[in-house]
Amino acid sequence: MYLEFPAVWRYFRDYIEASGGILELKKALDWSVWYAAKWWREIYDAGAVNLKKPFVKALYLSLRAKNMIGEDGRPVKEVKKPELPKGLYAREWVEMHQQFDELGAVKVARDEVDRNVLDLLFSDIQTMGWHRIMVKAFLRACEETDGHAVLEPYSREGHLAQLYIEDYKPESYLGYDPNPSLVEVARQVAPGAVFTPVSSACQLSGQFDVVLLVEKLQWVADPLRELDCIGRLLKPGGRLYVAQPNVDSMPGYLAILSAIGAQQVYTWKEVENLLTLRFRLEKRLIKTMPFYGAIYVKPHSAEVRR
Amino acid sequence: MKLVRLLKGVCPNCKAPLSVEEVPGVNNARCLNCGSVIELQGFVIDVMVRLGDCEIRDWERFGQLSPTNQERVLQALESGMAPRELYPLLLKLKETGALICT
Repeated sequence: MYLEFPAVWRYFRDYIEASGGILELKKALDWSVWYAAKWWREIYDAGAVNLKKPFVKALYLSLRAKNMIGEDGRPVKEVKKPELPKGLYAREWVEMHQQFDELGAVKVARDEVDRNVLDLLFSDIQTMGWHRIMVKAFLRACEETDGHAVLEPYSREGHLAQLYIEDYKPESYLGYDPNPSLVEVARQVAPGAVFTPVSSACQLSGQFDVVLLVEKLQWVADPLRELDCIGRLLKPGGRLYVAQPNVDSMPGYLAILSAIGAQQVYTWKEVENLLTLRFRLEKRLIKTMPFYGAIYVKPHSAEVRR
Repeated sequence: MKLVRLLKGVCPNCKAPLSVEEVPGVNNARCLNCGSVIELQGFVIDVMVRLGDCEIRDWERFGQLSPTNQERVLQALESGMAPRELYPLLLKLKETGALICT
């Protein structure tokens, strides 16, 4: 996992510096592994393992990928408690895990935590400093520029739109989300964008230059169908910016995301396989740390024929 | 608690920063620093959350927020204005009764 540090340094220097340097960042990331192992142990000991729950599945798959648990779920490797990082944003990342830990992993696994609390945690994460830096660094790594017609699937509360519009001047920005209350909130958070309550890109029309799939694929129930419809809306040569936490990345963060309503849990390879079925991989920025990040392109028709 | 449009700019006379809430049909405002009446044309529009008279009622639920966002919400309560990215968070605190606004 840490072999990716050079790529992270190249594209996410801001994030590393805001975390207090590479060593501080490493400490912060170690906490994500430590908490994931702790939550799994609690769930396992309480007999609350149910792999149909995305939260439990996320923990199982990511800890399996790190050989920390056996196939039967039994913990096989102890994780040493890491040192607390000193960097402001690195600490904020650890505090997010602490916050989730206080809810009780077993309660989350058994769906005993108040939905409002998890919704609040989602909004909280979206406005955290580390998250903001990370999203902005990712868009810069994609070399995004002004003047694009932008489509954002699952726009949720409009945070991504707001961050995007802070830095770029799009020709247009359309976000869609199946939840009308979230669309209403997004309209207030990002008044420069347009939001519409539809359950899928299949219900939309128009032509877009860029699709922002930044932490989105986990919400999509039928990803291939959605990608087909997104592909129809994308201009030939149009790009998809994909940032997806996965089981090979930060297990604690993935588990938190899964607990707050994700439908799917992916490995980075699954994300790539899924996207290359419909689009051409232009550039892979990072595989796992702290998410899978890549740029995909919709091929021109002549390219498709070839 | 409601979203308001703010016009932000600098007073052309005394160069003091100026931020005024937009009122439909009103195109000028008085500078709080030098008192001169200034045209608001060319001012940048920003959307913010005006909190009015709000207070934390459920500290336990409020304590479930990250320390950074707890601090940001407290500062917003103090100043009466919050940046709009906090709107979803404030809305949820209000809906769950953790934040009371009159």
